[in-house]
Amino acid sequence: MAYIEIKNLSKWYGQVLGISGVTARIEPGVTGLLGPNGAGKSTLLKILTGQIKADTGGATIGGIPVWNHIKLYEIVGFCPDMEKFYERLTGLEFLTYMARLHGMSKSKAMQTARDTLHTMGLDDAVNKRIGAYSKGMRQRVKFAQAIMHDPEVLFLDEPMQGMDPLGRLQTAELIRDYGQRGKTVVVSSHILNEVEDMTNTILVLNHGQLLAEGDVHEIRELIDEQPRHVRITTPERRKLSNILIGFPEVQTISFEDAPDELMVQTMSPDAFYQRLPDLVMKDKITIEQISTLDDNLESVFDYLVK
Amino acid sequence: MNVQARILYPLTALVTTNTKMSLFSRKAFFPGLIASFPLGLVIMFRILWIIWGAPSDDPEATDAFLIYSMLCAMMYMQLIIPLLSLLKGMGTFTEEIEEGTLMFLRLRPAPRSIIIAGKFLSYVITTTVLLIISLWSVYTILSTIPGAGMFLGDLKVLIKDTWVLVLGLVAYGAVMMLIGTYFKHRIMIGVFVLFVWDAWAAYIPGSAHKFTIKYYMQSIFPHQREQTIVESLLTNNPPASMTASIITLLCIALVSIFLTSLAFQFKELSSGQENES
Repeated sequence: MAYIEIKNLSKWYGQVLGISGVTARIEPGVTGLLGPNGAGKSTLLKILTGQIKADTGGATIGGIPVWNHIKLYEIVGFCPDMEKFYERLTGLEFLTYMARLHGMSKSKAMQTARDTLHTMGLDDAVNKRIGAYSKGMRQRVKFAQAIMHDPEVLFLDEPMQGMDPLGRLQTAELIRDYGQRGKTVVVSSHILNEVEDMTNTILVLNHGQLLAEGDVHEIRELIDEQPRHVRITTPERRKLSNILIGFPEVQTISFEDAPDELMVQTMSPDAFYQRLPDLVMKDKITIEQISTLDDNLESVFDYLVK
Repeated sequence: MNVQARILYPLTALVTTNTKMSLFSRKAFFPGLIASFPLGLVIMFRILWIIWGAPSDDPEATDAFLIYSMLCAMMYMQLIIPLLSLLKGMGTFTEEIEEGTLMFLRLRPAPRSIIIAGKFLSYVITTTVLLIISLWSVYTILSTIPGAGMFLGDLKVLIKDTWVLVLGLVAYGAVMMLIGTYFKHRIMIGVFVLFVWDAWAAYIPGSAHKFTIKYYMQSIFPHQREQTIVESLLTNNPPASMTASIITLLCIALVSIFLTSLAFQFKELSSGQENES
């Protein structure tokens, strides 16, 4: 079983910081790599897959240094977040090509490609050009090229992006299954819920630094300790605010710049959301839109930094 | 992994897939257009001949072999081969970087030199196919000119021309691939090497001509452009022997391929860094 050892990794792109002093040990199983856009997740994954060289520090996978060791790619699979393909190849041709670069004979490569496309639910698109694939299908074929050689270590950069709900479920299940089989899977994402569906173990990156590592529930608790902001769009904001002020779970109410928006701060969003529909029904108040501003990782990181 | 799995399977996959992608796609349009330029000229020339008769009474002006020889020396040697290598050779590797697909190759356990060799072989096959279609068609059409019977029978010339020009594609293409990999302003440098240095170094006194590909190609190419008196005075360089020319051209190609694989191995060639997250 291969584990990942990261020691004091730093990477700069000229004056721009990629990551700084990241040290971690990733054990077999699924690990979520969380962070907002620009946190350094992709940089870390590119270093760990030997695509770019760290300026300082180093990393090993199963004892193999990650930079400039082609042997590494026998045990590593990588699903990038970019949308680039050999557009004129069919899904089958693309995967067969990739499998042959792994040293498989033509017949074995074709069989492996077919099996992997089947696993990813792309049987119908086997002979269709990738250029004609939908975003979700492209995401699946990208995932397929990462897993087709059954790697010990799998790096997935935003693997669910662009997938439909069913695709997300299937992919999450596949990732969990990989982890349960003793493989090491690192999944990067900026959506906490997405990662929570797959694993409890997370690394949190922000501004290129490792902010936290451990159990996702600890992070969730940290979020729950913070007040949430809910933005409500309604043509009757004065009437609504007068009613909401009486709610025990509402801490503050403020008017936004837009004439039909108000901001509610609450410690118990669940209770607040439960009560809101009754209110709408009872007082016949029109609510056009509700959005929870804190349900993104940016705010979690802000809390963590504080 | 055994040798077959480590070298043969990746190499054949690279050659077949890339050749297919190069030949049967829009990417082949411009190189195809360039390669078929002399063919277009010859077709036009032949049609006009059929409609209006021989362009001149002078038998030399309508000598099929002379026309063919001139096309080889002026068009294929000086224009088509350098342009094909600039367009296709330079893109052999950089195309993968620009299109963001390099990562798919980089994350495979195939030796880097095999990946480069496979891609380069695919370039050679693609450009050779384009060259052969053009050159052999030109030869065939010209051989229909009345009185070109002898020329038609002399296929040895055509075969020699083909392999010398392919050797040119190999040497120029490898150098262009190297330039494409290492330099930011690759097109500018490539144009300079092909159409300034290679074309004019022969006029520099001393041994500068020995550092051009053209010198070795011309040493073994059966067709030469007629030189003016000034040109012949300035470029009185004795040709290299056939063996020396072939070895030098192959060495240029091998060294360039080797240096390109070093870049693939040691340089950070990750695309799309602007989208860091």
